[in-house]
Amino acid sequence: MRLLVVEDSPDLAEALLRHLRGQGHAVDHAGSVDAAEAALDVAEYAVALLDLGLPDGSGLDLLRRLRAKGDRLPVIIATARDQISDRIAGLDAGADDYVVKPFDLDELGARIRAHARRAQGAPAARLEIAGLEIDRARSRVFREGAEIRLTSREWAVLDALLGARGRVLSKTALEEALYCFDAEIAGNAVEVYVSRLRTKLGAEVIETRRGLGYLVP
Amino acid sequence: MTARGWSLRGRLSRNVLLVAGAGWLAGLMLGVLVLDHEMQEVLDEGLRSEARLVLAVMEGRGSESLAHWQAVEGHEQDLLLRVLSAGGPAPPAPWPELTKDGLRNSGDWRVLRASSGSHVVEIGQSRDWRREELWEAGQGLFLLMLPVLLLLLPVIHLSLRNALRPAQAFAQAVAARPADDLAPFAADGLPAELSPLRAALNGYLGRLSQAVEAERQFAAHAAHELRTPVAAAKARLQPLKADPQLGADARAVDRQLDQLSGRLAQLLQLARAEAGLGLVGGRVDLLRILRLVIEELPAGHCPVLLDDGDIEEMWLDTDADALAILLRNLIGNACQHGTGPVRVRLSGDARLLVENPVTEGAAFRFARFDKAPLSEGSGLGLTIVDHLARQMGLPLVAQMQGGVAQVVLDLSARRADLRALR
Repeated sequence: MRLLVVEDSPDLAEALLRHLRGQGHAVDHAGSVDAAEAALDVAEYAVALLDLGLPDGSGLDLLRRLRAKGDRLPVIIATARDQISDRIAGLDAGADDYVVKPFDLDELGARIRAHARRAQGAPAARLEIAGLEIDRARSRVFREGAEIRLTSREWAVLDALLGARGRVLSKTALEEALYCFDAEIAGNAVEVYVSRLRTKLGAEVIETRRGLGYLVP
Repeated sequence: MTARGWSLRGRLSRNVLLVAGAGWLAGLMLGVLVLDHEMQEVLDEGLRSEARLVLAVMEGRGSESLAHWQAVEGHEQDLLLRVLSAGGPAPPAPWPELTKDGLRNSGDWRVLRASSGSHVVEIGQSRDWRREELWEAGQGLFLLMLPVLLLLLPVIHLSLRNALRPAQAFAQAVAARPADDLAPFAADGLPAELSPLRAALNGYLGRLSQAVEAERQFAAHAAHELRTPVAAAKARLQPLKADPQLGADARAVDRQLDQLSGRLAQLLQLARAEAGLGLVGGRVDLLRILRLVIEELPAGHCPVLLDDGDIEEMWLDTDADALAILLRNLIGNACQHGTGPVRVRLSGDARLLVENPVTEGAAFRFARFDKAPLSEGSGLGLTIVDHLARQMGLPLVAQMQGGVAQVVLDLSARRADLRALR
């Protein structure tokens, strides 16, 4: 696949390009915002790897302009900025991922492939159920791009049901998913969390099999 | 608890009232003195008129004379009249015999002697009576002015309150200013007396703002300058790691670079913590930060189980970076030095528990660069945690119990009052 690496450090860019080309990707390099915008105007990329501190501007502004145009190109921010405020700003600006330098090239390669797959509509760890997009790897649920916030216990119950998708899970099996929190589990805990999940996600997401348990169809 | 100090308005009210009261009394006394002077003149003139009239009457009546002094009708014993014919005997009077015309004080009497060719008239007026009249006039003045003085009390109070309103508004604006808002104060309606205070305050805010910005810029630049070469070096090592001859050395160097990068990050965090990062304000969702911090832990580092206590969001008044650095080091330290999964549990009262199993004899080390023998840690993690927790005013309790390390961070002091926003 064709990748764009936006990185102003020649040393790092050269090593990155060599590694990614070695993995069979076609990789273009841009050392500035201007060069990146020129490349994005003339080519279709599967994924862009974007540094934030560029000599002629901020990679974040470039990303915002891209998203403002409606461009859904998967963008992985690869930066030296390790502050949480930078990470939040990057994700809020529309980045699909955020990795801090120095990164492991194998891990970076895996992330690039995952985002490319997702963009092509074949995400490995993403499920679509009743209009919901569920990212099991990152324990997140989205509806029309907006995240639905689940608490840890709600996610534990949903994740257990997703792991056995199409099969009925007994109340006892679901209680086991809650045991990891070490707190005392009330007799009706499973019913409570299933009810809360239905309220947040929609009633059709979890079905009840009377006398047997619950399932995600 | 902050001492409230003395009240400027109270002191001004008291001082203005005292000065106004003293001025009023002085004015009253001066007024009585002037009144006394004028009354004496008027009464003396009255005596002269009466003397002239009596003389004119006596001249018309020939050489008759009054054999004795007598009180003028209606004045009882306050006004006495004695008429003498020239060369005649002098009837007794309460004042000694007078030989010259004119006004004089004689004992308790104010006496006027006037003479014509054939008669001498002496009119005496009681000085006690005059004093009594003056006293009554003074009392009248006092009683008339007293309500005015009492009326002044609320007027002074209201005037001072209005006059001090800009100062009070300025003080409230300073007190209400969030710690992270370093914008200068506007001069809107501020009196000239407070302008130097505003200018000095804005000067300090400007310097603080520059320092905070410089510190942020330094952290960003230092991270960029230090991390990018390490990233480049790691990237260049990548192909060597698979080399049969150089692989072992390359992997060792790669690990060293990871360690170096971690140390650099923690040194920068310590520098920021010591520069007062924990004192910076802001508003942040603890659970979002907590999830991001756990997410960014290196893959395969150690399992971290987050129990958010069924809380969807918990807003804190603090800086996101400071909170993230604290949590990153707290959880990262548990991961690095623990022997099993790390449990992170948040309760509704904003207490965060981080616990993990540890080897026997393990201890918390909060001192800088204090680490166990053979430890691969930096000896900085808990130092950073301690620094930031103190700055942010978050009580932290650490204990070892039955082979489990437990740290409880009480975040309740930083809990945001969201009702204020609604």
